[in-house]
Amino acid sequence: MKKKNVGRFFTVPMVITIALLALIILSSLFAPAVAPYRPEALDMDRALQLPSAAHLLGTDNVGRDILSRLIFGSRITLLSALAVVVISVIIGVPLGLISGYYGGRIDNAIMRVEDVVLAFPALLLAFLFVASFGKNITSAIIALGIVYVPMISRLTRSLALMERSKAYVEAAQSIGFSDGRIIFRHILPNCVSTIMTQLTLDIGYAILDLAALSFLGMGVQPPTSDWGVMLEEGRAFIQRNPMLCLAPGCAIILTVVLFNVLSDNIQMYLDPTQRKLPPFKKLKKLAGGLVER
Amino acid sequence: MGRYVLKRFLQIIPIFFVVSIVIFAIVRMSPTDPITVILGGKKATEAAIAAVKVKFHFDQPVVVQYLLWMKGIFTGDFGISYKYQQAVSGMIFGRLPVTMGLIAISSVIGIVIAIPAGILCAVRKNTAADRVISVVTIILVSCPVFLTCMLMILVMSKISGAVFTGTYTNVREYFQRLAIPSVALSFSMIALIGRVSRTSMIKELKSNYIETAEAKGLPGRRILFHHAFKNAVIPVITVASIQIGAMIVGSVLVENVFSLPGLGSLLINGINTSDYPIVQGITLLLVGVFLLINLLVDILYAAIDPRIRYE
Repeated sequence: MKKKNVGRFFTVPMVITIALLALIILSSLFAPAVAPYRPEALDMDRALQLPSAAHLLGTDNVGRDILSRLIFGSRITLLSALAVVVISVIIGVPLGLISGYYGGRIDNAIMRVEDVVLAFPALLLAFLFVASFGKNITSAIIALGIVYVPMISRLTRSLALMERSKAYVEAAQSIGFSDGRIIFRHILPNCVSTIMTQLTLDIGYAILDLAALSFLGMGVQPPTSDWGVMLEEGRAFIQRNPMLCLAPGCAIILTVVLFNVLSDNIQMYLDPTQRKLPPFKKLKKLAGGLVER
Repeated sequence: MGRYVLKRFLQIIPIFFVVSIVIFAIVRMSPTDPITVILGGKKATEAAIAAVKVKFHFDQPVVVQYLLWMKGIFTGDFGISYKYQQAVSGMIFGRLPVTMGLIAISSVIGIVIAIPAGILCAVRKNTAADRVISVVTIILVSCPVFLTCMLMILVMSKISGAVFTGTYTNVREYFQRLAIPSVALSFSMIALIGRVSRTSMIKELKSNYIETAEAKGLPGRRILFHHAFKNAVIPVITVASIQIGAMIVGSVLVENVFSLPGLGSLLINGINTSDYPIVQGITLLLVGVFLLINLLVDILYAAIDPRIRYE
């Protein structure tokens, strides 16, 4: 049973992870259809109820259904985490490719600028940004995107450095392809898979960091709510209905764990040293190597 | 070794100054007018506004304002708070023990638990113990620190009537207040370092020199700690130093939930009231601390691995 699974993309943990993630993403896409109540529907008579058949996860301090708020909140949480990662990719990947491909002065200049960003411990730069440009989700997303740039850029740089010295790049250069074409059409495709692994992980981190910002009142502003805001609002009533914090908390943990596991599994699939090839594939590879040359 | 330390130290000085310019510039770009913050939004006379302008150096060009701020930093003067109208340095240093204590205690807890757990997992790879620890660490990594804090408060308040939030008046109370928040803060450190030391140890245990050591008949414990661990510890230190950076921010969240009088709660307060001298002072201080920790880590690398010194 075990041997059958090695070397394949769709291993059992992978299928479970993807299925659960798909469930979360689909329910946030179709939130109006999935959620049992409107997320803002007040019902003061049924405030702070524990889970029941009518309210599967209970109600909050003004009687809003926690499950419905969770489902609607996931939209903002997931979308803004995605936005953070997209921003960091748009800036970070080209920077890393340029820095790794050209090396020398350009590389040095880019690295020094990123050193400045890296000198700020984790979210501190985001705090500063939000403090200055307004406490709202847009500045939180932009700030976090910038904070994530050096990580992605350094990863891409190290990949580009490795690719640069390979024969196909030399071949492309000797044909006379432009640098831009070599970088984006030849080197980038060879780096994409590793970058994707990192991005999957980063979405998880972005969810955590955005929740922290929202929790401190520096991200999503009420009455709009995401999981971070729900935690902050639930904090005052945690003694009377722990569900207020447990539900969004578990949602965050589950989603981040799933992205973590997904990233781990993709990495395991991509990294040949971590995975054992099934014997017949190994033979085929050996044979291919001997015959085709 | 001395030359290496000096070289690394000289490298962080320009970074520190550029960071200070960045902090100063970002704060200046804020659309909020400092004068309204200082005067509390009340209608003020021309004379009062003029006096404030002189007191906070708003009558000077921006570059001069920056230089005055920098000059102050090196003489221990972080400027005057807009809201409280008192010296920021005094406010910061009064709150320093809580934040530094939190970070120090939780780092120690994290390292003391995580490294043995990681080694255990590596040695007992793919056993039940390894699986359980791996699952626990992945959950801890994914758990936001403020959630851990809230749950701990919930559980602790059910178990005992002990007071564990608020200010402290003596050393005993200081440790009492800090104990639970430090444990909460250390969770992510435990998880991350545990995972990294596991992977790193597994990699080292596969190497040829371990096989040689086994062939020589060295006792298992000696191989583990004297040979494998020494090589495996480098990535662990790297992650630990990154994690300490994350803990600096984590302490902001922990202080917020436990209402501890530390730098973090002061920083959030400063952000919420647009009290920029506090915000820029604390940010610069935390960046400085982080840079120094990174420097210490680099020195530690060089002490463990002589190859790094001669690069």
